[in-house]
Amino acid sequence: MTPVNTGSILLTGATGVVGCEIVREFFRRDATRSMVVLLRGTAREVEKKRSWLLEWGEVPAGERHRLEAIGGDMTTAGLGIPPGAPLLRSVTDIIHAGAVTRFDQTREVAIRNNVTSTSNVFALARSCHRLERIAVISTAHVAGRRCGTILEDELDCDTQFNNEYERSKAFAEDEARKAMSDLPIAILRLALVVGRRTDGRVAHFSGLYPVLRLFYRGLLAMFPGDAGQLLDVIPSDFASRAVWHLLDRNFTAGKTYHVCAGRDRSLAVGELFPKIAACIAAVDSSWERLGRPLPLAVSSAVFQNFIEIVEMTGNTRLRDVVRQMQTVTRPMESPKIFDTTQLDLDLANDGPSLTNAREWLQPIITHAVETSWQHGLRPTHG
Amino acid sequence: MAALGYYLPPSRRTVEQVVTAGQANSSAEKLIQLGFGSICVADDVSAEEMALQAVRDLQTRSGFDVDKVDLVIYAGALATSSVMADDEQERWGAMTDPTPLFRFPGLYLQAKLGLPNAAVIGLAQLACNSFQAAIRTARAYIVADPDIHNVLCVAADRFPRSAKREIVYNLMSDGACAAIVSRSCNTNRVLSMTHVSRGAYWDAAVSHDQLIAAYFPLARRVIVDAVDRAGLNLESIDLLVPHNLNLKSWTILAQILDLPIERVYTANIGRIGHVVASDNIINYVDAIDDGRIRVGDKVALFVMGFGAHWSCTVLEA
Repeated sequence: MTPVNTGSILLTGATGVVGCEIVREFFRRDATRSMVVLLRGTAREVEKKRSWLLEWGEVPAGERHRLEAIGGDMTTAGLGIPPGAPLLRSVTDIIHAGAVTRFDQTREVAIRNNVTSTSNVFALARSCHRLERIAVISTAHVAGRRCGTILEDELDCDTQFNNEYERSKAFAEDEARKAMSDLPIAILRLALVVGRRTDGRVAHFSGLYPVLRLFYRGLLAMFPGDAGQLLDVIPSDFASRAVWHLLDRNFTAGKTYHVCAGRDRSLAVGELFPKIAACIAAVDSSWERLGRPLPLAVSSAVFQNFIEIVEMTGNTRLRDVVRQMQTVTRPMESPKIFDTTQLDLDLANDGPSLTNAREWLQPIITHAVETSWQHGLRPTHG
Repeated sequence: MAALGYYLPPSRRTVEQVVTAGQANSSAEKLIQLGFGSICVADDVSAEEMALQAVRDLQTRSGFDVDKVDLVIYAGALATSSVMADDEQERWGAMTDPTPLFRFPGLYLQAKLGLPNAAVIGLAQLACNSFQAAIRTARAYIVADPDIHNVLCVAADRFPRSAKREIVYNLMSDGACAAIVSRSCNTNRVLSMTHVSRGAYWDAAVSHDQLIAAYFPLARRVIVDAVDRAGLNLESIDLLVPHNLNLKSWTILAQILDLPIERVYTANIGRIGHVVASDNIINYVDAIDDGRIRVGDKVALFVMGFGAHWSCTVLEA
């Protein structure tokens, strides 16, 4: 049962790359409160996912009672939580990290998965009378195809987007902004997230990983963009610590943050693949001796021609490669820098620090290579 | 290079005929979209006979006296081009008499040309890069041996009659080419050469997709390196002479090099397809005949071959 007096935190999206790190970090920094995670599936599946989260978070046996899992569905009203449930009397904080990140969702499905669900979380929040804070986890890519420096308080839902996921997250942010009139909401936009800096572990090899895996397997010929443009990537431990710091230590309702590497801590695209190659070679010297070339940075027009020829030849493997690449490369066609002025200010006192990606990529790549880019430990999907 | 020549067998097949004969993996429509129109097929003409005809063409074009040849370098791109095997050749696994394995086309050529004073070397395992490797080897011999003044380089390849004619979305012709690399010659002067090999792709059937992915980055590297070694930049290259891979791939490579496609000699891609090791020279000769190359022009010849190899030679015409 959820202890009412000490308060609890409701987390959606707990099995995601960031969500499971938020759980892990919670047990490292909080010795009293409880966390309730909303999970989809049958009772058995929910319990299986909870067990996985406890294992992932390396939660000591004596602390495990502080993680409660409830079955629910964010796309349904009330999230599937019965009205008057004890949970609603204990919740002081909500971290809404749940989203469907697939890039191939239709608009209708993406809206249901990411906008309706966000509205449902807010509706539920209004019935949580002890509620103090809501952190809405968003993506820096709500900027869509805008170029240049993107400020933290900017949101343009009418811009062009690379996919319906981006659009739906922008609309979800818009919902959050409207709800700020009566709810204590802060929006945290994350960059591309990879594994932990300590051991490189990651719950899902998603996001940037498929592209790096293609590179490792020698299937990456080129990518669109200027070699000098920046690729904003953050490690999951930084993401989770930043979320907790901004929620717990330095919460200001109404703010939006770019939890991103920003201008000074991002790697230039032209530097990325030589760095990744060096990291792979440090783990697997035989890979380096294959002499596979680095992919070329090319213009969007050249990349489109390459896609065209791959599609024309009907080579199914290469077609899959190109389609996989596009999930990461399409945003690169509109170069931008995520401004982190507000984030840097609010993390300055005791917040987590982040250095340039070139300084912490090695364990990320080591883990990926050593596990053959396969998930070693993951919950059943959902 | 003091003299150049080539031979293409007169028998032709259209894309549709190749597809109908079951010698392509792609549809005719797709191959036409990729820029192919027809290919040349040797039928009953042997590879060594095509080599001989290429030398005859060289003589006709230049009047070069082959008696001046000190060394013959015979470069066969296909494994079958290193021995004089015909379509009825006994399978190697069932072979009882191994002497056919010693029937070498370079020596046949020496005999047919009557060059008892010329040494003969055969180059193999270089696929479509064989001819550029022959030129490079010829240069090295000339530099190393003061008695060698003229080297006859020859490449000739003929696909087995039943073999597919499409390889990695490219249509292949049979054919041959020849060149005289001379110590003292002011035309077609070799300014630089680069050659990169990648054994990681030795089994093309397995590493097919990786090979395609590696193609553009390594193509760019060898071309840029060769141009740089020649003390030039890409802007000063008057014409890029390709191997006749599909036109779409050349459009992409030209864009990657920031070179207008008009400065790539693509006229022969649709007409003859990819002539294994010979199309660099075939295209170079035709570009001269077309007026696309004039004396003094800087020309880059690029080729990539299975195995895999990437080569570029920069010439001053």
